[in-house]
Amino acid sequence: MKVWTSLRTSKNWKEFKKPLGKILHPVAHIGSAIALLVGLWDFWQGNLGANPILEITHRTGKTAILLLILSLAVSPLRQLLKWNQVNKLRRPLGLWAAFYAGLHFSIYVILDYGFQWQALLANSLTNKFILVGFATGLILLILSITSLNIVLKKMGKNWKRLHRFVYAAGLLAALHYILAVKPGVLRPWPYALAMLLLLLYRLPPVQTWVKKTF
Amino acid sequence: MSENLQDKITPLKRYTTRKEFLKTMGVVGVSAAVLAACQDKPFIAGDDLPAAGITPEPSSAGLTDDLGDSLTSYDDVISYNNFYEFTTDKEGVVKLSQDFQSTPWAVEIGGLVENPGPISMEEIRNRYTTEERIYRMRCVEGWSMVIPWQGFPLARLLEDIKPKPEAKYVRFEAIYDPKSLPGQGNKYFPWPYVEGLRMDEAYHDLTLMATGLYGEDLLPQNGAPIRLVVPWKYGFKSIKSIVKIDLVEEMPVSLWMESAPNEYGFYANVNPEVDHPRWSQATERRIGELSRRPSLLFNGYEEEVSHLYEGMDLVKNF
Repeated sequence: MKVWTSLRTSKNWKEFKKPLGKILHPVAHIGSAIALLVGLWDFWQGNLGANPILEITHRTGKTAILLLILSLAVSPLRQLLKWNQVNKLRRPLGLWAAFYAGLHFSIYVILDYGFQWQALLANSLTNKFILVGFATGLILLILSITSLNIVLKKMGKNWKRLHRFVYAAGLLAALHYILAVKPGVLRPWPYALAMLLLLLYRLPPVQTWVKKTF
Repeated sequence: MSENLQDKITPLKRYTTRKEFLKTMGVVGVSAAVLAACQDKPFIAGDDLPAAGITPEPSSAGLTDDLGDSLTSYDDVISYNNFYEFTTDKEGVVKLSQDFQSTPWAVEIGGLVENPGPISMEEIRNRYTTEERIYRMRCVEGWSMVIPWQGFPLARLLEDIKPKPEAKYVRFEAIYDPKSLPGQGNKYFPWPYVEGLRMDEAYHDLTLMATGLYGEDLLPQNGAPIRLVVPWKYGFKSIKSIVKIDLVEEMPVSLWMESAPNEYGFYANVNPEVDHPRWSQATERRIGELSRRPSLLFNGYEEEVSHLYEGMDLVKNF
């Protein structure tokens, strides 16, 4: 791990991360918006395939889970790189993840089921994966609302406790994806694996080891 | 099947029109070839048809299924496919399947039959005149299409191969060739793809051995060169690229029954009342339409097939 420490304290890296730190915030926003822009472009061009509603349902869902993974990767990055500025990424990434989850939900309710409440309810209740998705979305919604600075100040210590629910959201999101596909379909697994690693990273024994080693 | 319905799904008149049209197309093709010869672009006859975005089956244009629903566009039928032998990505199949070789091809007939042995595709094409059948195809995932197939009733084939009296089921097996079928590298699935029908289902006039759609030979992504089409069952029953047909005494275990027995049963009849464990089957999206439509018992073929399941518990026998 000496290599790691020398890399981290090297002059080049120090010079590199200074200007990078300043643009992290816009990078997070622009990067997160790309999926939306690509989606709108493909809609405009008629590139959404034979089943466009399903396609955008899948795209928004996958983008949400990807951004959630990235937002959960911020703390490990900060720790491993000893780079506090990277924390700036956390709120925008989390909010964008919640935004895509909201789109994902709205597409399901408005476009897919067109407010056909009876069919919507029947499908939502028979499908465990949809209930899991609802739970994930609800957590992300609450975390988004409470991410405002005023709320943060008012909540004090409880804010941190509440926002630990993002770990539950991460687990539930991965579970939602796994349950949504047929058994044997491997698409969710890279996401689920990344999520699992990032959550395992938070376990106290792993933390002790990380702090000792890096 | 009522004679009325038969008329609707086998429009003989239209079919002749189609032949005439193809003749005309031939003429157009030749003139195009002559014209093309004057340019420096190479011209390959026939290659132009699908590429130009022309739906190659004019007889079906404006046609509907027996319920009056219009055909799903040719482009959607050939580009949105569940064919896990290639990939689990429905829109990725078309690209991965283009080099698939479906000639030469033979179907091996075996099991409890008087006339076993291989039948070449040539022989199948010579022996059985195909007719056009416009069927609804309902996928278990909750989407559906209306497809004009070319095919012949499986019953014709069964009459020729002569099942022995002890045969109770037909077992179908699809091609196994991991070298040309990348999806078969996914070891979760017990390849090859296997499906089965009960004898009376197999003999039913709606049960089709399809060799084409929209007036063209089947493309690899649609199950070339020969596949099953059972329109009152979920799409996965309609096994593609068949290499083997066995008559058996025991109920065959399909690939899906083996990989997820709680989710997929042997019968797999379309039934809006019986939910799949992970999704409701009450509604479906017809490809090309925006809002969902209610799904129909036996996919709308209740009149024709419900007698096959009289007295059976359809919830238990899902």
